[in-house]
Amino acid sequence: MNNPSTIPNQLQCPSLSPIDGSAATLAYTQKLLDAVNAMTSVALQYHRQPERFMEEMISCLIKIMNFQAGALFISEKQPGALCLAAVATAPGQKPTTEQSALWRAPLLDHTQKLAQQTIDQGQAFIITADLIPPHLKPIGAALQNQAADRLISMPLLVEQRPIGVVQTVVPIQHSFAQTEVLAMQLLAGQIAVTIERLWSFMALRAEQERTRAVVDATNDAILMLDATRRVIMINRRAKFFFGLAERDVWGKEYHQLYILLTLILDEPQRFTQWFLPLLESETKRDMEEFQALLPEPRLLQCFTAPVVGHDEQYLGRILIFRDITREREVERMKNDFISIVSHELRTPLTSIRGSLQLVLGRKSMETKPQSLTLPPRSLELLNVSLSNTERLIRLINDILDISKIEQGRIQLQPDTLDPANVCQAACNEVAAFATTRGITVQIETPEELPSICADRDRTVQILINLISNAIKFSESGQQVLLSAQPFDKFVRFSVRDWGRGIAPEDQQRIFQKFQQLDSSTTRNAGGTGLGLAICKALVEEHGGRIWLEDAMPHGTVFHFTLPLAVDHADQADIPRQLKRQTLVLVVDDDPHVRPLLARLLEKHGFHVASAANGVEALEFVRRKQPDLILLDIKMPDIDGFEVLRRLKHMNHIHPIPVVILTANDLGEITRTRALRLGAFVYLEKPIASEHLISTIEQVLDQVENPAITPG
Amino acid sequence: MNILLAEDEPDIQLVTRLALEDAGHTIKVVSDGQAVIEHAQASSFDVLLLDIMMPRLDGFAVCLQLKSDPRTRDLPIIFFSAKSQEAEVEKGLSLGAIGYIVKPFDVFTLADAIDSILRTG
Repeated sequence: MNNPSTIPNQLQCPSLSPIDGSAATLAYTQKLLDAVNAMTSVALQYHRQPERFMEEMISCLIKIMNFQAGALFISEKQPGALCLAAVATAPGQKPTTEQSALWRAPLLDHTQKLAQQTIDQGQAFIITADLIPPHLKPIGAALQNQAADRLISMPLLVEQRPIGVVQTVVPIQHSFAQTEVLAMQLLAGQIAVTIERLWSFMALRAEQERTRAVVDATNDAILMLDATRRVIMINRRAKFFFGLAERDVWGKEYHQLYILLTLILDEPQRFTQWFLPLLESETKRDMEEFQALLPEPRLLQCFTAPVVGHDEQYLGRILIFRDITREREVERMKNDFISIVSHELRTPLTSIRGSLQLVLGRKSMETKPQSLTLPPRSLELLNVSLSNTERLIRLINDILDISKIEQGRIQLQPDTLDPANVCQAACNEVAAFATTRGITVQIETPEELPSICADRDRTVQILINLISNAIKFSESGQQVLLSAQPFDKFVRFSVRDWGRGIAPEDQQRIFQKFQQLDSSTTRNAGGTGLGLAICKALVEEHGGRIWLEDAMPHGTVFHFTLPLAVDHADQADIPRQLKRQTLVLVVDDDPHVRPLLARLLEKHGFHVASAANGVEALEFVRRKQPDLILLDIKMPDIDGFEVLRRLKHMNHIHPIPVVILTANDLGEITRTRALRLGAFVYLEKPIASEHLISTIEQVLDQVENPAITPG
Repeated sequence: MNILLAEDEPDIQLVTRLALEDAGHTIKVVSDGQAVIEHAQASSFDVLLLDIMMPRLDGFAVCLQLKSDPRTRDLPIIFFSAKSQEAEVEKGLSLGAIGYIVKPFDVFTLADAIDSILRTG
């Protein structure tokens, strides 16, 4: 007995026979090729309408093969889970209930089972009305009703992988030759490939739409230029930012985009000077700020990076603009607030402190013509007022310092320092305080101590802070020891006290803001809770480290390191902050160029002063000798040549190197004249930022090391 | 020294004047920017102690005018202000001042601080 779940072999499709070379066969082959082309056209036409696509595919097949009706079953989301995708009848015929009945309930259940078996066995089957397995008998009855006697069920295979089944009804009078079987297999294969391509296309499109939605959802304006420097993508925000339509920029090369940028940006030339060198690079990333004027004034932060494919191939460059107008405004308001508040607090404190100091006088002040004699109680109360005034002043200063630290605005003025000297300076500052507390401050330093490279005021500030803390937490009669010694590439300073020490659980938080041990003690000691946080920030800004060593129950030791002063060869190891801040004087009458150059130079670690004309420049030089002058030639009062001439006659310890940066339309004679008058280098605008900076650095190197010849 | 003090706060005027007179200096006090210029043009002073926030003309404008005038260009100017942000200090120095004293100051060391700035400026 036949297994009702399988179909007997004799009902399987006969094996294919090769096509012969007869004219009839050739004509038939041509017809098949036309059919394949027709299916491809259908695919192109309906690729965005999957349901219509399926209907057209099966309709195409039925028409070409001259069948009565057909259906497509597709294996979607789950492998092997077949779903009826489309049903079609022969063209020119109205779909009758009999023709499509095979693919409606209740027969659908049977045709679906047949389709499943077709998939499972990976072979085509022909079901005839007179020879049909028992479990498919209802199909047989339906076939008879349609005057059809065969149902063909064929798998749709892509590289031997089934993706669905096509079922067609063949009329009784249709002689279904082997070549037709071959043709149907060919067409089924074409349907399978086309469906697979449709799915791939739909998946790709869905991915593209998802990516596009993400790009459009961002608050930043994004443009992408491909490897040929044409704009290939602009997101929704970019269109809004710049008031552009996609057609305005898509496909445009950079020089065409530049024309639009001249309307939008305040300094389009600066943008080009920044961006063009990056456009030529397949690796560089950078960020810069630009002022946009249209559609409304705003400050934009522009980030650019290369776009690289999964195979490391350079695809192009992306530009991302972020509106930081509000952010800067908030920062400015915060800075203004701090500045205003500190000013408003300090102004009355000046009067309070000054008048208290004058009333109380000082013991050593013997020049006072008439000393004030105050009752002890009044004296005591006035001293309370003065000490709390001092405490308020310290708090304001600490808050300002912390604010600067948090904004990264601490600017060190590094110099070569003698560690023993700074230790002594710090001790001198705290001497009076130590005396009032009955504490002795001792200094221990070896005879030979290497110099450090540090900001003097800030180093003394750190030491004062640590020594003051040590004094506060010591008992009268005790000692505080300040020492310094070499420590690898640093000098290590140590402040040791023999007070009550710091418990291990407090040691972690002690460098955080507003963290104080035992508020009653520290309140009495006048601390702000910011001192150690400031010390830590200042030490780390120098490239050093601060830590504490527990010496409980017999006190504490605070250590911090500052880098050694090294010679030129090792300058590269020093953080940029600690390189000597070279002062460059920018002299240019153009009010747009001066800030532009200043920002560029500051970005590269230079200290910058500006002068709008020759007179101002010379006035500045008389007061403060810059390390280099960046000088324009064409200026209203006295020109660059006159400035060069007068500089020669000034008495400076060292001649100041002058780099000419002027318009490029002045000719060779101007260049020669400037160099003869003592200019080091003659540069012309516009100039790439990197070229300008490297030239300045070369000139400075040559001035410091005359043996070096600039490249 | 003959010091011109430009300060609009009466209490600070008093404290500063007393501190510097106790140190043996002669002080002339003015309380607005325009008056500073008039006095600087009319009389000779060894140094101008210049506040920033003042009526009629602020300290920066005063400094700019004095440095542009040949009659007053050489008067040493020390800014004297509760504003202590780097930008403000640098602005003051770039306008031609030789120093910047941040308030509140120590009355006992103010005169020494002025001396020190004059020596190095």
